[in-house]
Amino acid sequence: MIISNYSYTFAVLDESIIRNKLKSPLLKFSLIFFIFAFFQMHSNAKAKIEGIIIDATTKKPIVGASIVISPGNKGTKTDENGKYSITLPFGEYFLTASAVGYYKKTRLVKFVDDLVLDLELAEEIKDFDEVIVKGRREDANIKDVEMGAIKLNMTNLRKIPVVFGESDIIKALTLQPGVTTVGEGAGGLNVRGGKVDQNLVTLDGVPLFNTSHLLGFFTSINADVVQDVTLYKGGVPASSGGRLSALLAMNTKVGNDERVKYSVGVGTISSRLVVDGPIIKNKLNFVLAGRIAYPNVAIKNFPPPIGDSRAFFYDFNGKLSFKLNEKNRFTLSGYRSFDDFKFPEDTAYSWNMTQANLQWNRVISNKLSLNTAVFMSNYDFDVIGLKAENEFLLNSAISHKEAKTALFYTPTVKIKGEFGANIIRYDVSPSDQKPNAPNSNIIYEKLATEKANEGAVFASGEYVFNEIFTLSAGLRYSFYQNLGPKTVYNYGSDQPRLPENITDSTVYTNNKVIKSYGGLEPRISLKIGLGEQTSIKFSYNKMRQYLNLISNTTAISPIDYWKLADTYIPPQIADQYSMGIFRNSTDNIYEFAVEGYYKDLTDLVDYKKGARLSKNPLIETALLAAIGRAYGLETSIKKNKGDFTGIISYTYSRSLTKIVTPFPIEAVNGGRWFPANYDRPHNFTASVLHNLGYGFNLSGNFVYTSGRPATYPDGSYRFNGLPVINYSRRNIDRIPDYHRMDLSLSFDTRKVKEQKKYSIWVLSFYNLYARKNPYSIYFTSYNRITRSYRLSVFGSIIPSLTFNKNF
Amino acid sequence: MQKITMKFLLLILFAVMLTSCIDEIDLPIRVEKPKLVVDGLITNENTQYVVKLSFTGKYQNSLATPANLALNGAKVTITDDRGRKTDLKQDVLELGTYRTIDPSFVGTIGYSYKLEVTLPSGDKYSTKPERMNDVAPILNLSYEFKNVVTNNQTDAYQVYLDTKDPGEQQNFYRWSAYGYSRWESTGALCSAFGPTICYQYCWVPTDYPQVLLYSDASINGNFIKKVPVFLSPIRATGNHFIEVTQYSLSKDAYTFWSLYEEQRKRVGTIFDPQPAPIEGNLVNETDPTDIALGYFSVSAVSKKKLTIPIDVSVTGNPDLIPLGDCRRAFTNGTLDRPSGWE
Repeated sequence: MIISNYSYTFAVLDESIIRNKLKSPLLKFSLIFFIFAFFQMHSNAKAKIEGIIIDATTKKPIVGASIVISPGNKGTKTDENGKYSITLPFGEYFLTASAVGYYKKTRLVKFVDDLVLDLELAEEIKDFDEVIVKGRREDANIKDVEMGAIKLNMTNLRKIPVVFGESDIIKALTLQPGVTTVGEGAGGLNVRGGKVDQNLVTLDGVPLFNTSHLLGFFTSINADVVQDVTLYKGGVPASSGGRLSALLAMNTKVGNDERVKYSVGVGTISSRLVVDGPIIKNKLNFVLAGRIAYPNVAIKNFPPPIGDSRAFFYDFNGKLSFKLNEKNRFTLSGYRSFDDFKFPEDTAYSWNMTQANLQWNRVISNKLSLNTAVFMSNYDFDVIGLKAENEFLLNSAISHKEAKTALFYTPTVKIKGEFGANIIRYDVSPSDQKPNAPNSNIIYEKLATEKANEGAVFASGEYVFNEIFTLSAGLRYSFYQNLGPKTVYNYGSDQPRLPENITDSTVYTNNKVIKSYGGLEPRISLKIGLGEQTSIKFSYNKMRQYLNLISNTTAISPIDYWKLADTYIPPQIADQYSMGIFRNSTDNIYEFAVEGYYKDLTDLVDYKKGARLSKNPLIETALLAAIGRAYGLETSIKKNKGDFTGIISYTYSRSLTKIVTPFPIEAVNGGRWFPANYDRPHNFTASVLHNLGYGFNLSGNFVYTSGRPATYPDGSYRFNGLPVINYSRRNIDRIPDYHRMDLSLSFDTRKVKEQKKYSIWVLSFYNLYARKNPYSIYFTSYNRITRSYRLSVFGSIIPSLTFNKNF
Repeated sequence: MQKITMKFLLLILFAVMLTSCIDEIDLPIRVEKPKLVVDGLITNENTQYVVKLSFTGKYQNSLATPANLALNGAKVTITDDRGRKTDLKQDVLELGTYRTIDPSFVGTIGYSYKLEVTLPSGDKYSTKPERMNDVAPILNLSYEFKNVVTNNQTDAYQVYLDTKDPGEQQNFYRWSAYGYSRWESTGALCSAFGPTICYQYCWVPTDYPQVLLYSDASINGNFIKKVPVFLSPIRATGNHFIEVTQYSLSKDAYTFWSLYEEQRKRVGTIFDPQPAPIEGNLVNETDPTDIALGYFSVSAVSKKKLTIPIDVSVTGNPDLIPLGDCRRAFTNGTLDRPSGWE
C-alpha cells in the first residue's frame, strides 16, 4: 500500500494521537460508502494496528511494554525500538499499554482499516518526595538498637484527613501506638501515660513551651516547613533530657541551593507560604515560612454573642544556612507564634512564643565533628480584662536560654560516640497584674519571679558487637539550682503545708543558691538480632524534670503557667523499662512490633482539693506530691511499600496516680491508687493510605479509645437554698468510649517527579460517621433539677478542602 | 460570583464551628455513704440565727429537705470568744432547722464565733472560731433598663452596687439581694355580685439565685464599682423595691463560697478544674478527715434599699399575663405594697 496522503483525527481523550491512515481522498468516499455493508457482510475482515510506545518524559521508546487488546485478550510486546503491531478483525477494542515502572494506559479504538496508535507512558511515581525519607534503611527497625521511636512521614502527613484542613503534626502522632490525648481540641499529647508537660517538644533543638494554636485545636508549628519529626516514647538519647515522658524533635527544612521555590497553601482556617532558595549559590540559602489564620472573618458574621468572639493566630519560621567551607556550617533560625482569642465575655487571652537559635557545625576530621548551639525560647501568656473600670492585664512568662555543645566520634562503622554538655538559665514570672486603663480600679500585683540554672554533661556510645548484639549506653548527669532573690517560707514540720502553718521565712539574695538537685540518668538499650528478620530489644531510661506546668484542669488550658522546682517542689523522676520484639517479613514490606513498658514516676505534682492556682503567692500550699506508675503493651503491623501502606495498632496501657501525704486530710481517694486523667486502657488505631495512581491518594483513619476517667457526682444536698452535687472520689468513673473515622482524597497534579510547578488538593472528611464523641459528661442544675449532659466538641462530620501550590 | 464563593466558604466554616454540641443524657447520680451538711449564718443583726443540718443523698425536685435526709434531734450551740454560749432549738415545722432563742445573743463585730453540733449518734462536730469582720457600707445602688430579647422573658432592671474597699486589711465580700415588683394577671371578679375585675396586679418578691463574691486582692483600697447585684423583672408598669445585703467574709468562707459557685457553674469545658467535695468548716472532733459539706458563716452585714420610680413607658410582656387572681397566679403574690421603702 502506498501512502500518498494523510488526514489526521485527534482523539480528545488524551495527549496521544490517533492517526487514521487513509489511502486517498477518493478511497475515503468509497470507504464510508461501503462501511456498513462491509461490517455486515465481511465481519471477519482484518486490519493491522501498530505504533510506538514511548516514555512521556524522555521521549525514548519503551522496550518490552505489553499491549493487550480486549475483548479477545490478544497481546503482544514492543520490540527493541518500542514498536508493536497486531492484526485484528475490524471493530471496537480497548487497547491497554503497560510497562514496569509506568502507569498503564487504556484507549478505546474503533478501526475499520489499518491504524497507527502511538502512546506515551508516564513514569510511575510512588512517592514524589522520597528524598526526605531516603535516610532510613528499610530494615532499620530490626537492625538499629533504637526502640520506642516514631518517625512521622511528612509526605503522608499532608494526605491524611484532618480537621479544618490543617495538616497537624501532633494530631497525626495521636494515630500512633502509645500516644493519646484527653480529648478533641485538647492541646499537646500524652505519651505512654505521661502528662502533657512531661514532653520535651523541640523545634531545631529549641524547646517549645506551648504547642497549641486556638486553645489546642491546632499545633503551633506549620507542618509545611517541617522536614522530619521523631517522637521518642522511650530510649531518649543521653544528649536530651529535662522532661519525663518523651522527646518530640521537629526539624525544619533547609533551603535548597538550586532556585527560589514557593509553596502556597490555602485552607478553611488558615493560609500558608513557604519560600526557600539560595542567596549565594552553594554558600548561603534561606527558608521563610508563615501561616496566618482568619477565623475572625467568619466569626464577625455571626450575631452576638458569638459575633463578639475573636480568634486569630499566626506563626513564622525563618532560617539562614551559611556554608563557610566544607568543614564549617552555620545556621541561624527563628520562630515566632502568636495567638489571640476572646469569648463573648469580658476577658481576652493572648499568647506568644519566640525562639532564636544559632548553630555551628564543624567537621574536625572524617571521624570527629562538633555541634555547638546557643538559643533562647520565650513563652508569654496574657489574660486581658476588658470590663469597664476593671481593665487589667495579667501576664505570665517563662524564658529559657541555653548553650549546648556535642562532639560526635565515629572511629569505625561499628562504634559511635557522643559527648557533650549544656547549660540552661530559666527565668519565670508566674503572675504579673497591671491595670490596663487610666481609671481602672485594678491594682498592681506581681508575684516574685523565679530563677534557676539547669545543666547536664553526657556521654553515650554505641557498639555493634556482631550481627547479633548491639549495645547503646549513655550516661547523663543533670544538675539544677534554684536561685534567689526569693523569700522562702518555712512551715511547721508536722503540719500540712498551709498559709496558717508558716513558722518563719528565709530571705535569699540575688543569685544565692536556694536549693540544688541533681543526679545520674542512665540510658541503656540492647539489641539482640535473631536472624535477618527478627530482633529483640531492651531499654532502660532514667529522666529528671525540673519544671512543671501548673494546671488543675483535665486538658492543659491557656491559664496554666510554668513553675520551677524549688525547696518544696523537688524534680520529678521517671524510670522506664521497656522490651520489644520486632519482625519484618516479605522483603521488609511488613513490620510487626510488640513493645511493652513499665514506668515508675516519683514527685509528680498534684493539687489539693479546691486549690487556688492562679495568682497564688504560696503555691506550695496548693500542691501535693504524687507518685505514678504507667505500663502498657503496644502492638502494631505496618506496611511500608506498595500502593497500599499504613499502620494498624492496638495498645493496652494504664496510668495510675497516688497522692503521697502524711496528713489524711489531704488524701485523695483515701490514699489509694486511682487512674490519671489521661488513663485510656484500650486504644486501637488504623491509618491507611491507598495510592490510586495518577496523583490520587485515598487516606483513612480509624480511632477507638476507652473513655478517659472522670469524676461523677455521688450525692446531692442543699445549700444556700440551691441544690448542690457532691464529688467525693476522683477519677473513678469513665466517660463513654471514643471512636471516629476520617477519610480524605488528595490529588497531586505532578506528572513527573521533576515537575517544578504543581498543586496538591486535599478534600477531607473528619468524623465521617458524625459520631458525637463525648468530650465530657457533666452535671448541672437548672430550675433546681440536676441533670446530666454530654459535651461533644465535634458533633457532626467536618468537611474541608485545602489547596497547596508549589512553584 | 466572588461574593457567592465567599458566602459559601463562610457557610462551611459556620457549619463546622457550630458542630460542638451539648446533649442531655440519662445518667443517675450515684449515692455513696451520707455526709453531714451544714448551712448556717450568724450576723451582727439582731435576729434569729438559723443553722440547717442534713445529710447528702438523693434530692428530687423539691425545695424542702426530704424527711429522711434532715438531721433531727442534734444538740446545736454557738459560742463566742468572750465566754457566751447559746443553744439553738429545733424548729418543729421545718425539719433539720435549728434557731437561736435568746434574743439578747447578737453577733458583734470583732468577736469570734464557733458552732458545735452533737449528733444523736454522739458524734461531735465543731468549727474553728471565726472572726466577724467589719463590713464597709454600700455607697450607692443604681439601675439600668435592660432589654431582654429572648422569648418568654421580660425586660428587667439591672441593679448595680458601688462600695469602697477599706485599704488596711484583706476584705472578702458576698452580696445577696431581693426585690418586689408589680406583676400583672388577667384578674378575677371582685365579688360574686358584680362584673368588676379586681386582683389584676399584685406585688411579687423575686430573689437572685447567684452567689456574688469579691476579693479585694486586685483592687485593695479602691472603689468597687458597678457590681451587678440584682435583676428585677418587669411584669407591669410600677415601682420596684430592692434591698441589697453586703456581707463580710473570712478568707476561708470566701474560699468555700468560691468553690461552691465554681461547682454550680460547671459546664464541662476544658477550663473546668477537677471537681472536688466542697468541704467547709464543720469538722468531726475525733476524725479530722470527716469534714461536713456546707459552711457556718460569720458575717457582718450592711444593707441598702433602692426604689425604682414608676416609668409609664415601661410595660410587661403581654404574652406573660396569666389567667386569674394575681395572688394565686404568682407564688407569694400580695396586694399590700411592700413597706420599708420610700
